[in-house]
Amino acid sequence: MKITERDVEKLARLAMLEFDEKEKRTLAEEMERIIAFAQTVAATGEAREEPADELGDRNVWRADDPEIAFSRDEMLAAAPSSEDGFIAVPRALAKED
Amino acid sequence: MRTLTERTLAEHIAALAARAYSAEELTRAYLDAVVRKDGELGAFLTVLPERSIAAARRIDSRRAAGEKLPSLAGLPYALKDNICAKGVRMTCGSRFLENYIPPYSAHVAELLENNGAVLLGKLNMDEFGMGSSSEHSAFHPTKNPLAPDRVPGGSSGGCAAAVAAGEIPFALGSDTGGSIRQPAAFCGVVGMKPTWGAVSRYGLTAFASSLDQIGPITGDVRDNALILNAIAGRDARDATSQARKTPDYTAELEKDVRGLRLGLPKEIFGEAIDAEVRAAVRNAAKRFEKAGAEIIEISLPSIAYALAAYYIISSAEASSNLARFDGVRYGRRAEEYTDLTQLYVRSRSEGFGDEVKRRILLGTFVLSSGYYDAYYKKAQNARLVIKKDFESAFGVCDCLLTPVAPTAAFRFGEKRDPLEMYAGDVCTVPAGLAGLPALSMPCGKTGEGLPVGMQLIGRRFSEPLLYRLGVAFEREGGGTRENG
Repeated sequence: MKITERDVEKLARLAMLEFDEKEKRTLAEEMERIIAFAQTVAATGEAREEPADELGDRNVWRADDPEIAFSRDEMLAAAPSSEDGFIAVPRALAKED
Repeated sequence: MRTLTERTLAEHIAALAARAYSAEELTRAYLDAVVRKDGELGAFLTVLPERSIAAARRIDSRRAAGEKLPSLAGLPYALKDNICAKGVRMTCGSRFLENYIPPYSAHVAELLENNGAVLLGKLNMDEFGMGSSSEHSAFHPTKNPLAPDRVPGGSSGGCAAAVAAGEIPFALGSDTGGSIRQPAAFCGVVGMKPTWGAVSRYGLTAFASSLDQIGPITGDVRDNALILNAIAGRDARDATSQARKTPDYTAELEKDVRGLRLGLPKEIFGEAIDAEVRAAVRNAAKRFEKAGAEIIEISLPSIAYALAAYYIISSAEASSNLARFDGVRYGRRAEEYTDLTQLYVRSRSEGFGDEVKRRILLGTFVLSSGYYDAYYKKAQNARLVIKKDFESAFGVCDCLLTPVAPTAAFRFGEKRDPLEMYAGDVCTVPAGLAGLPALSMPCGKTGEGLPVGMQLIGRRFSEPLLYRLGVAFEREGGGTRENG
């Protein structure tokens, strides 16, 4: 399967990444080979049956009780930017005129 | 006479209890080794001299007061730098987390602290665990202490190098597709990837959650079992950690191996494996046979698809797990951006290295509409087939014996092609996909004197059996630690 620089751009957009033109060229070539390798998985035969709970897989629930694990200050200490006890980010919605 | 830093954990435990030396003396001995060797070796990302000496002194005063101390009291150790210790910088080998100080400790770090172990520092790794040579650390490479022109393996390369060089008596690493086992093999030490679910991952930075597992890296097999005893068990904060009763992993160490059946999967001894590695592992099989075990050739046909399935599944999970690194709540934030989207995109693009970006792109591709069925679903199907193959194998044998890696430690820069690097994981990914425990330990050397590792893979929760085989092998004269 051919992977173009446009394909790389599209994947990058989905993954919230950006690349310059040179990186895109390199990545298109690398991704094409990596995807060709990944495709070898298609040759696997179908699993004969679902393993019947062989791992004891089951949902594990915890009690839905609110708890305070960390103080606000501890959390904000790790944030790259904060203001008045909140994490600061650029405006997400445009200003109304 | 061996120096202090050449002794095993079991020896340190006895000596500390007998007051042959103090926890402070022991901690200083390892800190000195780090000061002497690590400038060249590069195993550590963070060293904690004051903190570790203070902790060791507290243990010594408790001992002096006649207090009954927990089993690992006064033993220094280090953590791979993707495992949180409260208040200690954790980078995951990434620029993104260069200055991140976690406000909490991983479950395993808490257990070790409560057990009296002394945290000496944090160890180098491939960024977020993605790599097999530790060359993908954003900070510096780690050298192989046995051959400085070669890599220590990865991604837990810092762990294996530090233990092999005598900078630390044990370390905790993490293994997704071989990241404990392969560096242990490259550096001639012992690494266990426990059964998926045996050890809580709370506080381990997630790479691929259906595969990630924390495990010990030590100088010998007995030490490894001692540490697994201290870290295994149920933790409500990791819903996948198993509720079953944790066994005593040292309980079977003295038993012999007579009557045990070891399977050699013929597909893993093919052309892809270096002739010297094949010979060393076959030799190990002969030694097990001499000790009374039975060797059977078995078949794991689906192994052929394991590598591709692994890279699809692990990258898919990574693309999702790494979405949390967005520059908002913690970690790196780009300097320049005009809006929120640009803040995310620039912070991530500046913070992640090339290999991490490749895996995120691959993961995004296999999960995207139109490709999901052909890649991700196929890989999940392959994973089931692989599990079934192992099940059939365990119908005729108790444990499998394979090489850990196709070659011994390779040179820096030798595998620039990502696919060539991925191919090196061929022996370790199957046990990861099937959630099985696997022990990596030295079994011989190449003509150039590089250690060769063998891998013992068992049924789920069969770690005591793997350790029993490992100790028996050491008794037969194999697998002793190399000192750098």
